[in-house]
Amino acid sequence: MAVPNIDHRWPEYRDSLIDSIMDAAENLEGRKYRDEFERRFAQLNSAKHAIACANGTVAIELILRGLEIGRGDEVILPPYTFIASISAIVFAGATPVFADIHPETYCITAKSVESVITSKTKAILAVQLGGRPCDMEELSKVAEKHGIYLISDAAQAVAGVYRGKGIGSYGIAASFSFQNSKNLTSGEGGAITTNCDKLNEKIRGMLSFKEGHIGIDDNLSEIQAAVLLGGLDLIPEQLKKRTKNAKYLAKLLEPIPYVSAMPLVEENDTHARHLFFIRIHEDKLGGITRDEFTAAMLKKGVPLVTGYFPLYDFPCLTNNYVTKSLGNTINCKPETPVCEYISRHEASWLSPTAMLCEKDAMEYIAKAACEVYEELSKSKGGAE
Amino acid sequence: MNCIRTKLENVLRDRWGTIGPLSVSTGEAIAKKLKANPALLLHSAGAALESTLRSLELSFGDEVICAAVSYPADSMTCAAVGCVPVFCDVDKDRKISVSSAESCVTDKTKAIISDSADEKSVETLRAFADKHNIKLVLNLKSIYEYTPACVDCYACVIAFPSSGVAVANEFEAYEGIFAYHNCGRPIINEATLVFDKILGGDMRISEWQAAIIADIVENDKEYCCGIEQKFMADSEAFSSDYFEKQTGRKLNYEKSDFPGACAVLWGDIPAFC
Repeated sequence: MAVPNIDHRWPEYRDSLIDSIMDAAENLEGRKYRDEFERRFAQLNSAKHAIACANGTVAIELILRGLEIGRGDEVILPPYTFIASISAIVFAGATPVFADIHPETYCITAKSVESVITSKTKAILAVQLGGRPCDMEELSKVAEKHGIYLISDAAQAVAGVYRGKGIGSYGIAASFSFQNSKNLTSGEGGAITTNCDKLNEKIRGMLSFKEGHIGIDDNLSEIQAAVLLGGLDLIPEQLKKRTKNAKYLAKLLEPIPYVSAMPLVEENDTHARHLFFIRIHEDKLGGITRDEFTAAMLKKGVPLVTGYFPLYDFPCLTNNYVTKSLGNTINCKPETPVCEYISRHEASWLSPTAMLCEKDAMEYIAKAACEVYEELSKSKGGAE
Repeated sequence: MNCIRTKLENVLRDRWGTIGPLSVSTGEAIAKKLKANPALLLHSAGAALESTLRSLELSFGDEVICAAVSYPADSMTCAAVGCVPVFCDVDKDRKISVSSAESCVTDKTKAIISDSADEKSVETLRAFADKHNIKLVLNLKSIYEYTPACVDCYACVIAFPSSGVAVANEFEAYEGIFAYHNCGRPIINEATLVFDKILGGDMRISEWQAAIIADIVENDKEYCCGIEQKFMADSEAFSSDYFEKQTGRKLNYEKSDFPGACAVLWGDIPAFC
């Protein structure tokens, strides 16, 4: 079977976008495009306010600063996520605390969060991993019970929906990323959504260096806002295609015992489909490891990678500067057996643009999974 | 605007989002133009300043000397990284008064930020910095303010429209600033998901913004970022509970503590002081 294209050209831009980009370039000090983008993005998320900013990392930091969460405080997050989730917490001055994830969705669980809450805990940072909504209902209950904030790291979840409403309308606030690989992009960029008027005012005060606020120079440029407006127009069609392909691929993988897709989301939830995870079941691979499997898939032209290492693996979390900044040492030996296992033996994901390819690409991926198993089994000298 | 249009059309066509060919080549062009060391483009001048301060590992417990009349980002960025901005007076030319700065030095002082690239001022402040074993950082509102003396500082931040540049004068400084601006990644490894020595932030520039800087630099265009110096020492932000939580201190300056600044801004110490 010939290798089909599994590397959709990204980002998708309409050529006509250049006109609004030029208009923005001629009026960089204005807010025409940022204001319009914020209005439309708030609407997309069923949120009262949206604030554009420089990127998803500073979005989290701005939320924490706006809530005056910092030195001496703890923020709970999952260890299976991009490093930006934790650097934002550290840069705001708070101490990150790890809580384990769900074995099938890889999202943080309410039960594990509750097990690590202390008197210093001020917030939960729930990462909507790959675009899949976390169980925000259960997490909200825990947050309310303990009088702490629930913040959504929706960097990978633009256009995600939870229980019929935009993912950005849950918790005290949500952060979004528009970095180049994201489903909505302006090269770099970010946004915050919130229903809290006070938080909205505080964050805007910081971004505009308003008197009384610690000013932070993390605004989104007018050009980027113009680019994002163009991208918003394309999201519905793109999400439709991503969802169709994801469901098709999940179906193709079903009969294969050693790989599986994640379970489907609830009916009134929408997975934003930034990442398609393929769970690799080493116990059914007859001695083949997840790493060997993904490397072999890559050689066949399937853009499959092993994903994140657990954050607690990284030496930078306990370097002198971090410890000095926090006045505290991050616990990098947490009780997170699920993360420990899936990050080293199970998780893999396709490149973010794979779900924008054609049907034959999905068929090729499933076929490649079977071929890889056969070939590796032969070379290991004993298939089941 | 034809030249900028072409650049923006190229970004649209080429799909580079960040740390692309335009931001890299423009950094090189700036370094060449200024006859300086590598220049790094970031998403704002404030981000350039923050990356610079973090590359010096400044945080809680550290102090940075800032002028009482200065760009707000000077002292605000110190506060953002957890340092205390310690304010000194200025002379009639709005430059840092070295005698006032001397009285600000403690064993916690790690750096001094100046908004002036005036050669004599830089020379004097460099000597001051060397004497006290602290770093001199410059914060300029335009590339046209840069002077050859600026190579004597640790790093020079330059504001551009909706973006910023850090010109580092030692390669080690450049490496540090780069890492802090790109999630802790070293210069040669852009896509890694393995993070080793530095827990960096996210301060990268988009190619869109880089196109604007490239156009300015190539065509020697005048520009204005709308940044003005203000009297910062008595900002309410520095006497807030949040500031005290983040830095360990509340500041309690009054305008009358800075007669030079008052003279520059208001002609004399205002009656309300």
